[in-house]
Amino acid sequence: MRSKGISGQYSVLFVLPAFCLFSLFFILPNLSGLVMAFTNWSSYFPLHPKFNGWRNFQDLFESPVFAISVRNTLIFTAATTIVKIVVGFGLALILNNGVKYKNTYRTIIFSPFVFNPLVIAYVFSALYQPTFGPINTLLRHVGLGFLAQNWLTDTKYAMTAICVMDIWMSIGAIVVIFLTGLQSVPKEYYEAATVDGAGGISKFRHITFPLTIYSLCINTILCLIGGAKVFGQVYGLTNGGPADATQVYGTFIFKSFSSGLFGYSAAAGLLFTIVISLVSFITLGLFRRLEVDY
Amino acid sequence: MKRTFKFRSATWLLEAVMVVVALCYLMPIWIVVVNSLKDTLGANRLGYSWPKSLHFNNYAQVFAKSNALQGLTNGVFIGVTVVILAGFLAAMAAYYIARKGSGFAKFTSLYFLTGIIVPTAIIPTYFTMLVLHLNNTYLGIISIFVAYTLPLSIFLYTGFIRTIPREIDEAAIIDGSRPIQMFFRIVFPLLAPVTVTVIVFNFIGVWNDVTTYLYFAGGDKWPLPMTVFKFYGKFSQRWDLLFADIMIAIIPCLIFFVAGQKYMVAGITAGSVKS
Repeated sequence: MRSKGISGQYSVLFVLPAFCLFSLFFILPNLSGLVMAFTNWSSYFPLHPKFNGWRNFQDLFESPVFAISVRNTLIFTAATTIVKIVVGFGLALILNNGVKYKNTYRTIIFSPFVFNPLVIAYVFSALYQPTFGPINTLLRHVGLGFLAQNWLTDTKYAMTAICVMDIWMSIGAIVVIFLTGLQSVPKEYYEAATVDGAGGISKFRHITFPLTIYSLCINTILCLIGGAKVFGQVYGLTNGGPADATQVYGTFIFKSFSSGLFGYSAAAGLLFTIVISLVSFITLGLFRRLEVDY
Repeated sequence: MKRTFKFRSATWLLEAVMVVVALCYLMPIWIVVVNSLKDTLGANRLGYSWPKSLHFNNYAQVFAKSNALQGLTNGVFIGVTVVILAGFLAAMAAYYIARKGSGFAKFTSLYFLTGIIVPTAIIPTYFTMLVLHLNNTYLGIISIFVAYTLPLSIFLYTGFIRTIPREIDEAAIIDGSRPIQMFFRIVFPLLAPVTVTVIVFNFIGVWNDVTTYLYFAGGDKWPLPMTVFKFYGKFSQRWDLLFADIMIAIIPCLIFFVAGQKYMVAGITAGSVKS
């Protein structure tokens, strides 16, 4: 009786402003994307788009640059996700097992989180500079001069250079999440396992791994989505060049948008939205099955 | 005896690994700092050495030649407005979602959750902005940012409000407070810990955003880090000035980082640990 009276006090007015704003600038555009993708909307007639059926999608699938950008995005996402998860988990394990100055290390690795990806990209374009760049200088110093490359202008290495920078700047958040996951495992479990005579590896397999699978799930999704959405890193370092060798989905959409092909970019955006949403939901579902209750 | 030796050498190895990792992060910053104080010829060699004479003049030149100050004002203005609006709107919405058991409340909860999973539809948003005449206006940029930051903010607030006992609301209502009054006087102050996290998180997000500014705003509305982009286009062969400009862009971030690191970690890890 009383709780019903209280419930009446939570007026819908509380949620309405947020609801309207979110609907207008997020939900509505996402829904209208379903329509826009099938129009010839362009910068010539910005307010009078006309339907042109599947034309945009046909054009997309016939465009070689689109194919390259899809392939590059997949490679980038796979490579950075694997490295960030494996190395990030390794670093979190090291930090969790008590090296000295553990918090200092964590702070240092995490710090790029506050920097703009474009600004980081400019610093890295200096690091990658072929003649004087510190990376090539270092390689020559230690006698590995043959490894020195034109990192950003050689089509073979540009994508790798971008991946390295992305891992450098965003592994910190991954480490922090793993670390929190590791710290949430009750210490008694390890003590009990030691009493039972379990070694380091079986402790990892039977305690650490199953109990940190939730943070593994979150990190994998973050890496996958972050990788697929990559934009600033590529835009700042190479802007898709040399010769579209590093064109990714985000830069491809921006390029089509800048040349005024709005309907075409909307079609590319729609495909992206559908794929990313599906991947996220599937990954979430998959990990939910692996999860262990404790 | 043998075991402890083995154990010790393993510990040393791990320490060494961490030192190398830390150097990978500190060296780039060091290069930016020392070269921002050299003359053009020295800076373009991108070396590690400490400058022979300190050219603080680089910084003065950057302020004269770039629109760093305008960027700082833009960034602070847009960031603060978004943070305040998103904070209040998200807290109120989350309060409704966490407290009311109705079907609509459950629907809204899922509705906002889609904003975390589904990517933003930039091109159609551009059309919406075109129709509303909001492209390249502060109002437009701020509205978009508030809409984009709401889902995560609401998610963080909802989790926190669920931990606050309902008896507090009941007591306030029996005392005769009106709902909105009760919320701002009694509930909102209790949310302070998560409010700080939301503020820090949203501010960093808006400050460092690239996509939204490139698509929806002209250079005169860009925040400080984006002004480096413009500057880079003009002075790509002057690393002394570029590094000085980068320093100007990252110093506010570093100060913010030192002050707010704890809350950024809290924001990132909220929801990543099963409770």
